[in-house]
Amino acid sequence: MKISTRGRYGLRLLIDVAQNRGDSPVTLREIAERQNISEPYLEQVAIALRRAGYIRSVKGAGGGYLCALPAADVRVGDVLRLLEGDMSVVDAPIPGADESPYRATLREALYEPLDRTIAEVLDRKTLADLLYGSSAGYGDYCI
Amino acid sequence: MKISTRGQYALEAALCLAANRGSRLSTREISERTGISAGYLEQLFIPLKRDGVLDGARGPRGGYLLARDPEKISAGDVLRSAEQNVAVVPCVKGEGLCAKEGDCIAQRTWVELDRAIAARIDSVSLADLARAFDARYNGAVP
Repeated sequence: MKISTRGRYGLRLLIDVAQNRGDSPVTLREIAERQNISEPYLEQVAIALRRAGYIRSVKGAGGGYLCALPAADVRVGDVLRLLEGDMSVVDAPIPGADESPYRATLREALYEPLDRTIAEVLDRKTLADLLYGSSAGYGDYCI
Repeated sequence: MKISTRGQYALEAALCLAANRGSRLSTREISERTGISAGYLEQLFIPLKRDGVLDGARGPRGGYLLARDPEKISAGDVLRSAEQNVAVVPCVKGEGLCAKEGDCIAQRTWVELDRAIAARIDSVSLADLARAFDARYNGAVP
């Protein structure tokens, strides 16, 4: 039951860009160095985050990435679902395939409640919570 | 973020035994009921026996049963035994695996998530799961 490097690095990228206080764009090279993550890998994650509207890129000399949303509006659960895909702890049943009664029971009595627990933890957390410990009063872009 | 096949199969086999109310089942019987191959079950039972989840022996006169009261065995016990490590990220135990540890903001979220998962899987016992099984199938295995 692991969060992949894609999800973990994506979150660290957002944290790094947000901690930059919004003045000048941050390059992936800087993030890669600070976060000790390979730049080509970071690039793939940055593309997904840009397409989804979490960060925007500034072209040219002095270019790089800036946050595109207020940190209080970035839910950790949404970022992870974007980068990881399906966050449920087991795959959905294959349509038409027989499931053993034990598996069906576990789905109902363990896996589905566990999925809800995980979603609750991740969806009540925003990037602002991570940066400042609370969402209150941090509506500004990338403070 | 998936529970491994190994972890799922271990839970299915443990629930099969819990639902059987204390009488022994051979690997072949567990295999027929769960659809998990007997060979895989034998592999799976090595850590489960070592960690005090199951008792039993292979062979014609063998058979398996839960090693303890199913009220006292949690889903977390079974998962941790089968998967060895259920941490959501490698760094939740603070073993110094990452240079950023200590001032990593993301790590706090992972630790919180890991605790919430542990609390959930430890709060569900095999007896709870057996009751859910009975409620679902009225005691009759379909």
